[in-house]
Amino acid sequence: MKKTHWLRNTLIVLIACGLAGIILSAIMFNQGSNRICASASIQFSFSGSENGVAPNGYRFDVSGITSDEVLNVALEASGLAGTYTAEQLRKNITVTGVYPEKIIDKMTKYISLLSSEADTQAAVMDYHATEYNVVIYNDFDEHIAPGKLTELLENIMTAYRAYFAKRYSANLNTTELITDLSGQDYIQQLEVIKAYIVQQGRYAQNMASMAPGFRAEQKSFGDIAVRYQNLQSDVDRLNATVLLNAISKDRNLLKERYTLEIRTQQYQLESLTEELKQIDELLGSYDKDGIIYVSTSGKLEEVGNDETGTYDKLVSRRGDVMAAITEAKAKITLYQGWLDEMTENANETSEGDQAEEPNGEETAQLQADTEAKIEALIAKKNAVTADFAAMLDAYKAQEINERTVPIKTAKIYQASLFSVEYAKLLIRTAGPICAVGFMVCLVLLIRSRRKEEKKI
Amino acid sequence: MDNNENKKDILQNDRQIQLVVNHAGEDDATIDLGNVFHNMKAKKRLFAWVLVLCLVIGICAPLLLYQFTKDPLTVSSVVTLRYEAPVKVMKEKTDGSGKKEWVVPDDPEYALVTDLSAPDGSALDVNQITSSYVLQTALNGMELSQPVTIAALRSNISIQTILTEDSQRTKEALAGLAESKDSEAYKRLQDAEIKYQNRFIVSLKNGFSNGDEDSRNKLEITDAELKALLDRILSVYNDYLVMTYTDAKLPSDTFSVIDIQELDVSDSVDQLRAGIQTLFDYCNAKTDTVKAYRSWQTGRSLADWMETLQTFKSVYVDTLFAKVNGNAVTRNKTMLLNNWRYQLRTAQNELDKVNESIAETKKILASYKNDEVIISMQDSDTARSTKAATKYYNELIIQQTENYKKAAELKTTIADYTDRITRMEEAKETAVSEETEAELEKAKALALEMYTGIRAHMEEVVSSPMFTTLEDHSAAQGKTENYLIASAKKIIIGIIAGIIIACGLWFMASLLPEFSKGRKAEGNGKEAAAK
Repeated sequence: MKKTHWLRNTLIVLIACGLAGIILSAIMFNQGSNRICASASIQFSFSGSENGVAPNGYRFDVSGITSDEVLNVALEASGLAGTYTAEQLRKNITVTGVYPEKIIDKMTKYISLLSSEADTQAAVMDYHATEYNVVIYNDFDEHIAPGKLTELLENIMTAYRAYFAKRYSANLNTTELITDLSGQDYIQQLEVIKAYIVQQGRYAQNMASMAPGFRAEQKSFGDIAVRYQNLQSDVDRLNATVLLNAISKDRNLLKERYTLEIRTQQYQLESLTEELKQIDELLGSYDKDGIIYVSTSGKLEEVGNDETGTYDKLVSRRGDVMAAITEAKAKITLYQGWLDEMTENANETSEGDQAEEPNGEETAQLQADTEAKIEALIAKKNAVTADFAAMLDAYKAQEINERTVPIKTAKIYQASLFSVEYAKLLIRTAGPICAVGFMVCLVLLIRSRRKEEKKI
Repeated sequence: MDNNENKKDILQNDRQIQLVVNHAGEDDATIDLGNVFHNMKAKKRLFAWVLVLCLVIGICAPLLLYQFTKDPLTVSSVVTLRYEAPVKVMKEKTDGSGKKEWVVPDDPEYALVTDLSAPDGSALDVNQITSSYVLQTALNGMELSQPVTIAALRSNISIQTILTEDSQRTKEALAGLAESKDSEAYKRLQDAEIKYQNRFIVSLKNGFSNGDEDSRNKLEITDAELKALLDRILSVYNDYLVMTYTDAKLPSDTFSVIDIQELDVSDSVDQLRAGIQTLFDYCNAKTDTVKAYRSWQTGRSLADWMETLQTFKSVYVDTLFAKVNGNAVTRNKTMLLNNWRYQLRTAQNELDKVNESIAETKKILASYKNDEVIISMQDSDTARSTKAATKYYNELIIQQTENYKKAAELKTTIADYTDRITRMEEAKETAVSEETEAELEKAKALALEMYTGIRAHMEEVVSSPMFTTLEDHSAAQGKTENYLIASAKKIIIGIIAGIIIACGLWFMASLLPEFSKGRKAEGNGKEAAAK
């Protein structure tokens, strides 16, 4: 056979094998999964994200992506609210953290701690992913348009960023629980106001420790904390004025209240004092375990010991009772002091009133002044609270935004005959077929050459 | 000329290979190497194809072999435990062996877990990852391309716990001592405690055999499915931990049940006070971490709620209580007094019982004899005795403190009721005004609002990562080696073998004609000799 024939035949066999490989791989590819998916990614680059800590100081996770809240917002934004449910979508969403290859190797390989790599491994074990890939498959509706799937995923990602900002940042609900104070006496109104100021001041202080460098309009959380401290001083001053001048809406009720409190505390104090005496007796008679040890001089010596901790429990209980006694005594002293102040000042006021002007008018004036001061105090407190809330919003906007939590646009992945997946399958299927065909051709060629040689 | 002839002879000899044919009595045959090379040159076109064929076979054979013998993919994930567990203390074992062990104290402190302890302080059973519940729940939520059974899945999961640095060193030292047969040191080290880190590695291998373990026909799911399956298993395991160990009990509503219209004002206020105290105690029983958690919805912490509760009690409820009791406000004085007298009698009866128990326990303690232990020294007459408190003795002590506590509480209650009754008897009855009822309604509404707020706060806490993420796992990782890279070594060997075989065939094919030529010549020589 001529050389050209052989080349032609080899080419024909190779083409035939290639075609067979393409057809076979296409069949295999089509028989496999034909679903499409959209993929996007979200990255966290705010301070602390590398340690898995959110801007509010707590650990965060990305499970919120598949929460009802996020999915429903995304469905609404995509105009698919009535078509699909959050539950349908949730089953078809996967969220995967992105880990560098080096880290994966170190994380998944067990290295002896005695090896030189031990330190590196220990550090690497605490790696927190800061980038997550989110993939949504079309299993809930195979006929959904690829564009719609991409739009849906983008809306999920945007809704999640908003959810993340709300969920993992600091917020302040400015609505107060006890709002109507008009029915209460002045001293009680001040008690309620002070409680709010102390709580919010503590919150501001926490934020100042968490974000010391943060500033909004040249103000920091530390400034807010100082303003709350000043408010607290204002409340204390007003409290003193009210007490010293015995300003009250219903003095008798207040006296009754304090007297009742003193009586209750006294009953408690008596019982606790007796309990303390009994515990002391018990402690004194407690038979501790003896421990004998050999001293250096060869003598056996004994010391007390209590392995069970019962003695410690007794001591601890004594401590609790003592603390309760101290608290009861402190309360009695406090209420007694207030009661004394109120009684003395009330007497002084009434004596003075008799000499100078009518008691009713001055009392009314004092009450009006106090009410005005309390109102001014509430207004001041509300202003600080509003500033604090605005500052928290600014902090949220600074920490979680499009720059610190960027979203990579969603891409559609449709398994087609032009995809990389198919190319891989083609190489793996058609490759061996072509190789076998080529080998057959070569064997035939060799045989013919031998025949030719023999003829010669 | 002689020189030239000699050189020719030498060259002629060099080109000849001495072949010894093992036939007795026959002469040596020679093959001309020059002719062999000439033959090789003549067959070079043919054997170029043979070389190509051998190379193709050498490359393709390893690739085909890889398709059948490739290792299935294994994906792994690192699981780190993230919860607060009771801090254990070292105590002597109760079995009398004298050995010590780590135990959870009665009133433990809580801190982030550092070893493989469960949230209640017991040893964490990591094998629950392969429990039927976890695996079945994980499979329920997935649609796999192959029907993988729980048994097949279980056999493909491996869990690797990680020793702490100290324990690792101990283990390595133990291995060394075992080799050196140092029994004393080995025994000492054997008693050393082995501790694990608060993380472990879970791996899942592809290739599931639903029936025969040794079968080569194993079901393979896609790499993505394998990773998703491991992630799902670990998520379900986390849910299992949450379900098993998290005390997600929310506070009970004790305010809605207060029927202001039906009950006397004083009783309503008492119930309000008791409800507030119950709610406060509920909050107070939580760990410091839970108390400090600040809500993302309100910005409040549980500690803030506790303060608000106290303020509310002081400002609203206690004032109302003072008003009602100070003015003897009641719907029916006689009924109220009867109720209080009944409460007083009950408390007194209870106190009598407690006092009796105190007296009895005192008697027992006074006469109780603890175990006596006598200790003597070896090779000496010196001996001493000591006492060891028994478990029962310690229980009696604890019981007595409980009695004292209860007695103190009852005495306070009795004093309070006695005082109330005396004052009510002396005071003139005041009818319940609309104003008082309105105040009571307001206080109840506020208490309910506070309860709702605390409940919502606790619901947020139990749905936060603090409670829902008891384990934190990395994404399942693992990759299949590129099949070209995986079989690279075999391909290289195949190529070299192909080249050697092709060259060998080429040489042999060129040698054979010379060999047969030699035999032919030998045959002709014999014929000529015979003639």
